[in-house]
Amino acid sequence: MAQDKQPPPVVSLSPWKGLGTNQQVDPSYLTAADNIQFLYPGVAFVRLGLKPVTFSNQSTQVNSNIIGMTRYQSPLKDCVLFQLADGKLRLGTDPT
Amino acid sequence: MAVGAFTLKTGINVFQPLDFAKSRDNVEIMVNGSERGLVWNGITSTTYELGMDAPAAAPTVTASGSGNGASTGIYQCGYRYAQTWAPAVYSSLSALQAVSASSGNKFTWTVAFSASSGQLAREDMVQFFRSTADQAITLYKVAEIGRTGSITSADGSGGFCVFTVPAGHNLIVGAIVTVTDVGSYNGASQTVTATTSTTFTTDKVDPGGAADTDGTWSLTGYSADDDSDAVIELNEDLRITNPDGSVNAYRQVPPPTHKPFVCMFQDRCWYGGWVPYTAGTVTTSGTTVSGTTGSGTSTNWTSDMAGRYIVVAGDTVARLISTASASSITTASAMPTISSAAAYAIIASHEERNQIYFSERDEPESVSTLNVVAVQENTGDDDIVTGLMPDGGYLYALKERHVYRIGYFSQPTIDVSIVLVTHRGCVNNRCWDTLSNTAFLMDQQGIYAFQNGTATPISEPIDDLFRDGAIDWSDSKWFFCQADPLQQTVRFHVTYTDDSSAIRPLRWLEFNLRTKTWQTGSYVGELGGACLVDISGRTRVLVGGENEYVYIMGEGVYDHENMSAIGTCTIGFGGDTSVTSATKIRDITLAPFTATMVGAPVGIITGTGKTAIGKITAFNSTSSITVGTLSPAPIAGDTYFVGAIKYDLATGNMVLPPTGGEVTCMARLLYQPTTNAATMDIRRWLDFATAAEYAWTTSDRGKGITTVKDSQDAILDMKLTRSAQGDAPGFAIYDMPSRRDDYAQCQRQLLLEFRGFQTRDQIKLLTIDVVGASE
Repeated sequence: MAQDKQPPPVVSLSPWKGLGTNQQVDPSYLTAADNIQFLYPGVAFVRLGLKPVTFSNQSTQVNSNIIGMTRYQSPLKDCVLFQLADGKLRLGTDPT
Repeated sequence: MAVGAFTLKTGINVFQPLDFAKSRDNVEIMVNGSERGLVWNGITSTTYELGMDAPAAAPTVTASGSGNGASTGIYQCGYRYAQTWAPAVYSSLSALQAVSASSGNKFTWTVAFSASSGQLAREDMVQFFRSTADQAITLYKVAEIGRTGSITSADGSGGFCVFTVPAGHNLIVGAIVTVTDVGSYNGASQTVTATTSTTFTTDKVDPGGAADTDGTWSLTGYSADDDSDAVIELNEDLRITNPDGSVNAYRQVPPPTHKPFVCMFQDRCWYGGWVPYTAGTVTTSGTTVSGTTGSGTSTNWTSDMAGRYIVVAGDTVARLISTASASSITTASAMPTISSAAAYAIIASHEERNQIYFSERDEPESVSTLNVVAVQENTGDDDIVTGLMPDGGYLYALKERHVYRIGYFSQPTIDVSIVLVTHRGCVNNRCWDTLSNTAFLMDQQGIYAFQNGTATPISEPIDDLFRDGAIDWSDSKWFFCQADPLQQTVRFHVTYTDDSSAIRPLRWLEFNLRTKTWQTGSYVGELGGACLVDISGRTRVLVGGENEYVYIMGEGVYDHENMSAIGTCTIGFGGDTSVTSATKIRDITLAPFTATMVGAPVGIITGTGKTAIGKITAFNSTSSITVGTLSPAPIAGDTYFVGAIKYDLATGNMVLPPTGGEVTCMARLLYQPTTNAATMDIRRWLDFATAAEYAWTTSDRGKGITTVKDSQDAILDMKLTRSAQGDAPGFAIYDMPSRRDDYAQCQRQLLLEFRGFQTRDQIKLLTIDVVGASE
């Protein structure tokens, strides 16, 4: 007697459950999701970029890495204070 | 483009990053626990030392004369420094000078100023306080005089010296000044006899001769304190102590220099934390400890470490530090001689580990040593305070493995309440942030949400990263997090153990509050901090990178800088014989390189070096750039892209159920086609193999995906116009061979990986369905 053909099983990755390296029992969790974002249901997309800002008080660039930063709002300008690995504290104003 | 900015301060110790808090007076307070903190009011072109030191000694005051206001009795005299430019800050009162006066006397004062240039920069005024006769409870301000100023010109008039000065000189009649750099008009102890808004006249007789310019006056005392007790009682008063016995005139103690964390909470500034200082190595001899010098290993101690303790490997006692300079420490007791480089730690006393200081109300720089609360160790653990988190009506003391809630009604010294609220902690003061009424924190167990004192773990899906050693905790003081309110995400920036040479984070763990999903992010350069800022009215996340680059996160489809097209590597030409290699890329066709690309990522899109990504470290010419390292190394003909974002997405292990024969097995992809060239690699992993499967044949079935025999990558061409027959539909099928007999030793597990580079279009995947596999 002929049997009804069963549809093949399907694992669907959407809705996206995101990274789940600790979730080995559920393959719909991802084991890698690097630079992938799931900001709203139904789409996984590669993150947008890191774009250098320009400050209105632009001056000579220091070849030292930033090790800390904070925002400072003054009545006149929106400022960013950032500390460099060479010991400088720098002030950037009105970033765009 | 070069970022660049204005330098507010140089020479800051960088063992521990600055921690920031902003007072209600709009003053930014910065501390690092290694040295004295800094303040900046948003206006000045430099920062200033945190807190004002009190005068080192009592004033010298004499009572003399007749016909003046003093009564017979003992008067208490003291003075303090003031910074009167906004916001006003005062030092504590000096020690008091008791002066015996007779009726009709007046008082003549001599005062001194700090030897520290950092302190002098803040001391623009001096306030003189004197009691009434025979009481030492309340003093009254008798004068307020400027400390120093410039002299535009000096000349004689009416037989005496007259000095022209800028308006706002703050000199009054009776001020005693020393005048310098105006030739014959110079002189100490000149008493001011008259003032106008731009001049002052002294009792020095006009020496005659030519006028002079460009001098300076400096206050040394005051001689016109001649009012009666009844008159000075109408002046501003200053009680030595408050009616409840608390300090008042001596409350303006500078904040402790050993506290690395700061925050504002309920009108007060709070200082906490305890970080051992361990930069470099030492040798010892007697009471001298010598530190290493040189780039990257310098001890770089600070004078503020005097009074702390140094513990040296090989010694048996923590030694009190008497003096400290960048590479030399003197201890109070002699140490055993240690001539080989030894590890060490400089610490504040142990009881400081869990002590938190707080300022006077609305005086963030006034922190009496009595203004301290201790977080008790009520958990059988002795973890230390690692951060301070104000949230609503409470301040939370974050420790390594616990969180305590601090609350008070009016004065912490009287009614503070400290309660343990959770057995979770926080890595450091930069590893918490708030988003949508919830705080998010990271400790060594993972990441958790914290609301109303309740901790809810949220990182279970990625807890293996914490549990199994993926994260390099040795660099954890550089970890930080930042909430992104527009994206509703929180990113915890961390270093992995695989990031061998990185000190600061190259990666981040990102949680989206809307979709409750985790993902990771990575960048080719180290990131050192983040903050929010408004750009064109939108709240954006900024992150700080290498070479002073500040980046907006989530802007454009590329990192740092991009190219107009995907380029092709070429081998040396002309006089330059260097070749495309692991550290150099040449392109004589597109010749697209610019100096501003230094620091940008470059990804190898196709060819031998495919998947490699590196950071551009030098611009050699428009056709040559040097890259940190590219592995695998590209060769001529490989394609590359500057600004590429490398992405990687992999499924979990899916089960391939037994079917008794050949079955359909395929992946169906729904994606958004790209305008420009873009490809995605699809790789197939079976049964937990360590390498992806190789294609058996070369094929192109017209379903959007091609395979090449003996290649691990099936290629999805995502370009909308990839076919001359019409636009691509954004749907592709990846067929996979599959035969799974019920009892044979055949493949049972399948994992699919999707990877590539984002170049000129954003890569968007809508769905991936794997047919023939099950959970």
